[in-house]
Amino acid sequence: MTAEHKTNLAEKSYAVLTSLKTSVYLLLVLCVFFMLGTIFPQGTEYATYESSGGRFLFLVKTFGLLNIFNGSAFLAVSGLLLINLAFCCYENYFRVKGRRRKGYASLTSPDLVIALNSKPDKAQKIIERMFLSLGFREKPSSEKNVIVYEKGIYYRWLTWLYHAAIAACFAGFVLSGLYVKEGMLTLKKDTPAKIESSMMPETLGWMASPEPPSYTIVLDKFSTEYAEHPNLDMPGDKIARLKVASWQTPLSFDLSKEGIFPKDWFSKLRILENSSTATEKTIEVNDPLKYKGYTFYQVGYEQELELSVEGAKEKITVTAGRSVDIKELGVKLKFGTLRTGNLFQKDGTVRAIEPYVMAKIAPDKNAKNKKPESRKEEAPVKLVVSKASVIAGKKVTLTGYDESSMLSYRYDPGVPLLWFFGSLVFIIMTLRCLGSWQRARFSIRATDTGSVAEINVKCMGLFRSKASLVSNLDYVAKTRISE
Amino acid sequence: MQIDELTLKTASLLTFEYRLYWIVALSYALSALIYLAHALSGSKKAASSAKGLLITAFILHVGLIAVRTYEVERAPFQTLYETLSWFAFTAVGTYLLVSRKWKDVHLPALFVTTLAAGACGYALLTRTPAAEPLSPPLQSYWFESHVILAFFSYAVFIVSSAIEISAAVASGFLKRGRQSFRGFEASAMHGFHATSYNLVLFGFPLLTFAIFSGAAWANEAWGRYWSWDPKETWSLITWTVFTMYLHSARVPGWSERVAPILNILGFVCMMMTFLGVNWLAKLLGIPSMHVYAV
Repeated sequence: MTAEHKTNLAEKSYAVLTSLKTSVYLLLVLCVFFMLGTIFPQGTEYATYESSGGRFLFLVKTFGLLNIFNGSAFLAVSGLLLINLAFCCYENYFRVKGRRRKGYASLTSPDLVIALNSKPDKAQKIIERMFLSLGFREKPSSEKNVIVYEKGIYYRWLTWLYHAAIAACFAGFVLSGLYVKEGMLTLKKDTPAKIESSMMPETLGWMASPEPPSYTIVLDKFSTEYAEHPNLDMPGDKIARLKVASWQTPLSFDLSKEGIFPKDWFSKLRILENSSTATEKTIEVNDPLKYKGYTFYQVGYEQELELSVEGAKEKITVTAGRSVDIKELGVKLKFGTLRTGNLFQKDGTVRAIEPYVMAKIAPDKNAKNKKPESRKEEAPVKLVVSKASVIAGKKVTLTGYDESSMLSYRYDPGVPLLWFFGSLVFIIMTLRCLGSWQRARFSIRATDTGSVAEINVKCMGLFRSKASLVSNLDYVAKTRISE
Repeated sequence: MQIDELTLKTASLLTFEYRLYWIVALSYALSALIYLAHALSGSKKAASSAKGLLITAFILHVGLIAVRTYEVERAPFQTLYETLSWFAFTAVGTYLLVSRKWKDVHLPALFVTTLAAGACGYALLTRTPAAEPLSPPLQSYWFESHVILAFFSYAVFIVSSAIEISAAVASGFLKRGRQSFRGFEASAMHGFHATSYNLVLFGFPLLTFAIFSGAAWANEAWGRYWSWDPKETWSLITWTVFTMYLHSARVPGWSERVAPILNILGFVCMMMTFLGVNWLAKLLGIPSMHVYAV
């Protein structure tokens, strides 16, 4: 390969890497990856996918379609896009910086001509005063006898800046990918817990050390709040709905069903370092606890129920929200969520809920050949703490319960960088798209009666048009200029 | 006041609101039918009647949104029943605003009114008007700004693609030698593409903010700014397609051939983000953290 060929190849590669078409093609390929990621359940084990009747097994296995976003193909295309973005930023930096070297279009066909009685020197000052009064500022001009005024931030700089900020956002993603640590923590009341290295997660960044933090975390209190929320008796079929719409029947509420809604749940947490309290906070969803780079989020709770059948001393422990076979009853019971805490009622008052859980006999799915009654849904039974209720002909008592708070924790050094550059992208992009930039170039020519100012204008931005700028300048010239 | 009395009062208000919603939906549907008559016949009288009806329906819709806000005591866009109403409202509002400068161009309205009537009809026939309290993840200062800006971006994208679709239909007739078709003139086609481009330029920062605020919100609520959840991913697809559109509109030779196709594709992706992704997740059994929006 000759030196000339090498130069040509380098130039061609550079042209491809800085081309808009390349960006569009790369974005198109990324879109295909994104779409595949919403078709195949990401993060699912191949065996689980296969056993649950997943399709296209060969393709899924060959191309790793269950973990697309960590796959080499996706990372390679993302990397190419970043290179394309970086090269475009590099190329455009010099293009924007050197804009005035190339000069402008000639002033032979001005957008506006203002006739003045003054001599050229005075006329120039008058026009300059007009632009200054409109908020324009003078810019250096490379053309002889042409004066340039601008208003607003030069739009090409804004375009360049937000593209550069997008490229910088990638640094945040990379930091996240390299150093993130995250996992789940279930806390029981008054039982200190520590993030153990064994609990450090399957989701550990590529370069992150599995060194856990030295402090412990204690759950002092867990509480839930409910809002009264009666069930609307809304007809499901379309004809019944049309009857409501056509003034035949009104809507109503069904007050026989349980009508409460979980409003919020809170965990009062304390961080212990060297046996003393380092910090404490009551957290809830959307309001996490932050400590030494780690953030602890409220994600949910778990409830263990303690039951007794026919007053037996031996207690049965079950988890709320699940279906459990109760040998003593000979049936499978489906439990709802344990309701405990404060109830905010419709009339504005608040009352403490007497803890209870709804339980119902789960229909026997294997009873195809049995009588239809055995497949029927039973009405739910309310089990109140320390009060016996009858289920399947036997007395069942909710003797106690235990609540645990479920937290997720995360250490992610990429987040501050992402928020900073992400905010910049948004602000600069908004300025570029919605803000306005205006430029006026003019020259003064002497005439028999005085002089004329020949003005050329250029505008960018959604809310500023060339026509409106010209008409505005014309108006100002006619009404405000005094010679 | 007893719970019976309170629920009776709420039920009366809900019944009124539900019926008003039907009136709005039927007005949009009727307006769409009259716009269709205009598209087929070219009747200017039909077009002005349809626009009059559309403005009336929009004013009623303002009332509907106000009643719903009063009823639920929060921003009225939590459930799908509410967001479909908000979706139709913002689309029609944006169309009425953009179309002020057009004299005889009504084809985009056919698309917008059909979509608005469809969204309202879907809400009324399949969703419940029950006023749901905000679930804990939704109780955030991001809620209003995230949803409002996302839906405003949707609204401008709808109008933008309505213009592109109408321009594509009109181009078909103009190629057969006609000078103009339903207000679209051969000499002014560039102007319609420019309006469409400007609308996307307006909506793009809004969509960017919606995605950015969604990530910030997810980081606070779930501890992860991005989880490749289907809804998140489709919003990113929509953003990417509109990025492709904005870039291709600047590529010589692509601006009037490739760009309009990408604009319409962006609209399809936007609809996938809003509605289709729930259906897709259900169909393929993929869990979504955005189930509260169903």
